[in-house]
Amino acid sequence: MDLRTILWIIGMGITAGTPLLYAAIGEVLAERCGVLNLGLEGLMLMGAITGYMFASLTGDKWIGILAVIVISALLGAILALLMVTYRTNQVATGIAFTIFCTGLSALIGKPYIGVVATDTFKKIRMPFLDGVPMLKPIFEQDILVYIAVILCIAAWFFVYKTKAGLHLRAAGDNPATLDSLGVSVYKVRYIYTIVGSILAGIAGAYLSLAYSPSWIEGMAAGRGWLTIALVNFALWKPQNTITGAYLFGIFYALSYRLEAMGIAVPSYFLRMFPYVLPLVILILVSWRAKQKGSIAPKTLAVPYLRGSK
Amino acid sequence: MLRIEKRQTSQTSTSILVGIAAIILALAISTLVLSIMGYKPIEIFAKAFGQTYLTIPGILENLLMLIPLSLCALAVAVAAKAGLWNIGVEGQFFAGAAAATGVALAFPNLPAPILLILMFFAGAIVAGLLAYISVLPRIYLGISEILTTILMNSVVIYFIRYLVFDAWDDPATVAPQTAPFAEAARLPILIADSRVHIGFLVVIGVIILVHYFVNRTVYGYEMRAVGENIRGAKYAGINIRKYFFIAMFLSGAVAGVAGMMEVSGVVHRLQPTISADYGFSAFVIAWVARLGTGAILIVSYLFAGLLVAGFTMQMMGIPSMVISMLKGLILLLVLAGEILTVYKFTWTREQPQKSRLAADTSAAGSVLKDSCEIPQAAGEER
Amino acid sequence: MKKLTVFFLALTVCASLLVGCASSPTSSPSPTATVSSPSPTASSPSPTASSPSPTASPEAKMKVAFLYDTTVGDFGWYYGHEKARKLTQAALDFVETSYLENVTPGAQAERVMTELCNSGYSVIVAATSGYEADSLKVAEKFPNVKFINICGVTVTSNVETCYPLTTQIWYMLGQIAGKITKTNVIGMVGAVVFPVDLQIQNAWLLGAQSVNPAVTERIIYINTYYDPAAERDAALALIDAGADVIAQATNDPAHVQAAEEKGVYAMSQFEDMRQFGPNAYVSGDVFFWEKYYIPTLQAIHDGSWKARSFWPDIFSGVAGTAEFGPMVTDEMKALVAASKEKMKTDPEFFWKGPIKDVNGTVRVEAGKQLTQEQLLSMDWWVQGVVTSMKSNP
Repeated sequence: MDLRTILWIIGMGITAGTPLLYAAIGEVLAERCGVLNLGLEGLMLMGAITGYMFASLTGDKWIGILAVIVISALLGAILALLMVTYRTNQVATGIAFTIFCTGLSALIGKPYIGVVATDTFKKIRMPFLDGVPMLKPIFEQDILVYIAVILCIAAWFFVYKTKAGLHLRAAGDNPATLDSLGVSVYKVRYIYTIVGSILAGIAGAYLSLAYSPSWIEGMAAGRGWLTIALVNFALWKPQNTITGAYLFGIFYALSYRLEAMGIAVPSYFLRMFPYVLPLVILILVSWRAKQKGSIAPKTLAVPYLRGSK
Repeated sequence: MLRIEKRQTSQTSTSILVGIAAIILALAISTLVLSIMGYKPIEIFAKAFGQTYLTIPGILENLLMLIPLSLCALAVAVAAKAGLWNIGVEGQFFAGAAAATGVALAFPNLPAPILLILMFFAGAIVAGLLAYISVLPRIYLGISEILTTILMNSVVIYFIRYLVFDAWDDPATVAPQTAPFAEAARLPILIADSRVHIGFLVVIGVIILVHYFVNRTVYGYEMRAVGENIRGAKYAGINIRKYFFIAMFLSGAVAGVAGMMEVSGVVHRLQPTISADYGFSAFVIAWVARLGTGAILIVSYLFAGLLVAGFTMQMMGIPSMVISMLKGLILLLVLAGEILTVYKFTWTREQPQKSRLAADTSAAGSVLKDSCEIPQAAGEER
Repeated sequence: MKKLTVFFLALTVCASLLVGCASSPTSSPSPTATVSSPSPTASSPSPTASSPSPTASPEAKMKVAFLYDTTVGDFGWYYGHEKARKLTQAALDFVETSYLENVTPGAQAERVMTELCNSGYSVIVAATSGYEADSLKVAEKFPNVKFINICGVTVTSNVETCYPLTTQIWYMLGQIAGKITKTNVIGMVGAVVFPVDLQIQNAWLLGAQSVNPAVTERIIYINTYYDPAAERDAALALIDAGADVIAQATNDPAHVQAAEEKGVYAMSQFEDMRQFGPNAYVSGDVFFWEKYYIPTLQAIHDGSWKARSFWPDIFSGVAGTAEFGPMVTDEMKALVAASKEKMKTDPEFFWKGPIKDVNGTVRVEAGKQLTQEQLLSMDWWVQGVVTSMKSNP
């Protein structure tokens, strides 16, 4: 495999990892404040169809993204209402929500199968790279890829360097103390569940408006679940999500590129790659982390009830 | 000001009412959604459900569908009793089916009872081991079993593809499937002129056994103790790892039996499409039934009818995805309604005082050093 | 309690908001078009098994059901069948057709077919080979119901099979690909390792090698017939590996989009996919299933039908070649015309030996030709194919 191919794989890996990156940043925020949002897969599907629907109706991709933000926020609010206010079991809620959204997205998306959206996110041409065409696969990406990178850095800054970020972490690690400081744990958890849902929705819209511009049923194809694994092996740190997401993407691209070269591994096993790999990384990372002590948010998936014993 | 308190006792009657209300509300919301889309849902629902629940062929089809659904739901529930989330039921179902197929194809000449018993245990053991492997990372490294079981699903399904397209492909047909089983490897039909096979009796047997094990034996008691309060169980000297293994192996084995019976009783060969999303349906059933073994049987029957009616509705023009939506919606509403059974509501005038802000989270926020104690135990909330 | 109400309201509003938008798309099939019988859906006759026969009027329509295992909106295989179903419905006033999608082969398909038979359907079209085992099972129980297995193998008294010979088309498309490629690498996004697909993949390469012996074909199997994202990734990987003509075995046009983006050529199966890449699109095979369905259903209605194993070739009108793109030169057109002329007398001359497989083993000796049985169980690739799948020795 020559350098050109390796750079191509990295470039495609970045594209393939971007939807995971969006969803992972959102999920890190939600889990850091104590809400385990397992509805990601469903949110991605709803984001994909909403974005595609509005982009093809209006002919403007940005209106599509706007619609995704609005609808995902609404869905996130429902999730927060259930998980934060009603204190429903978060795992069961997330999975039920995903099942519901799988059906709903397929139902409303039915007329949009095979419809061609006119305005989708295209790769940005970078003429100044004409001298080094090898680097083009890496840097010629669509605008959403760059926004994801910026968001990742912003999330790191926000979580560790701002007061609101401190409150966010406290809501997950020590909600009672936060409450006694006069900050509403409920409010914090509501906000980040909604923010997480919006980012998951954008991840879905990335699939339908940039990655493979079309709508098909169940097009998230398990990326929501992979994101949950990714957040775990990013050790709940926003800055680590970018490594995890791109690593996943690169292995995903590699599995296809190796097959094109005729490697003697049947494609069934190559297709398992993106699912086995997170397991392996998860085990390695957790094994290391265990020696340093657990770093999971202390009240992850534990609903908060003010004043109860 | 609305005050919410935890009830001292949970009320079964309220639970049942909430369940019924959830189903009615879910149907109402679906009707609304479909009406907006321009369908005529009311008469179609009435016809489809009437045909499914009130005619003999419909009821027989429900019973057939109930076999895999109830066992898969039981698998979810068994794991949940020990506080574990087994989301990998789909994969274990396939693993059981594949193992049974392997036996059926390898020994087609054995007499029927021996072959069927061999297939039964092959399915149960292979699927049980798969589930067992999935819980290892939880026990030793604290990795949530939610993740391992979900990721294992995809791995197993690609492996099944390898089997049906490559290793065990039937050269006589062009479809992705193994050769049909010998007569000896097929479960006998229970009700004449239908597809309901002897597996229905096995379901009843397995449910009684599991019920007995969980509720009447010391093992079952300690297992539930782990699920209800992992810290308490630890202080009481219960070996948590042991019960995680037992629960997960049992859970996987039950799912594997479901897979074995689907290939042996209905399809008579391995295909990559033997499961119509049983894994997630089972999850919904188990939770709507509140993990009760007897309740699972009843809820499975209702859901079997729902899935069967889905195909009838399609013949009348309603898209098949409505059923998936309905499933999710029912569980969401049941969960939302849980607040009525678990908490008590009272209205008070006074504003909340800072002094009352004692933390319930102090328990959860305290020592969580042990890797077994990830606060994601299924029983935690209950 | 208030919040509970708010929750339901929010859920309903959210759903209806989306649904409201969904029900008014700009250019798409109507969502209510599932049962395209002349009578409106609401008043369509009850399909219950117990419908008493006296009420059936003398000119009761012949009910025909089409079963699809994924969705009709794939712009590929099922889209073509669905188009044909509508044309058939329009052409024959004595039939009443309906379709069911997402029916998985196996227990579900058997359930659905049995229910259809019980509900008075007299013809069932099983539109993929996966249904064959199920339809044979059900056909035995209902000898009066006719089954049509597309790409099936077994024929019984009430089961007919139809298996279009698209290998002829793909041999000719291969000749074009062999001439048009600059890198001498052509790429195929495969779905699964199926004899039907393997025949096409092999015929395509044989066609290319007949005009340009240096051509090799790279194949990526994405393990499903329907996943545009994976199809696109596979196409991009093939293009990066040097392929400059891309075709697909899957059901949708994502590979044409990828080819358009990268400035290489694309061919397609099942539908004319020109609109997805006007500069990339060379040609492809296209189906006119109605030319099979209409006479067959007419024969069933007239009582002259007898189950057969039907292999429509390029002269039958059921399958044909899509219009050539501007890049196809007169020289290539002449090549194709010559092959077509030859097929009139020797329909599958390209399966004549000597043909070697990827391992170099001679599969067909000189002077021999592959038989129908050998083709139906094809599990090897001709020399020049690059794939990670193993070739059975």
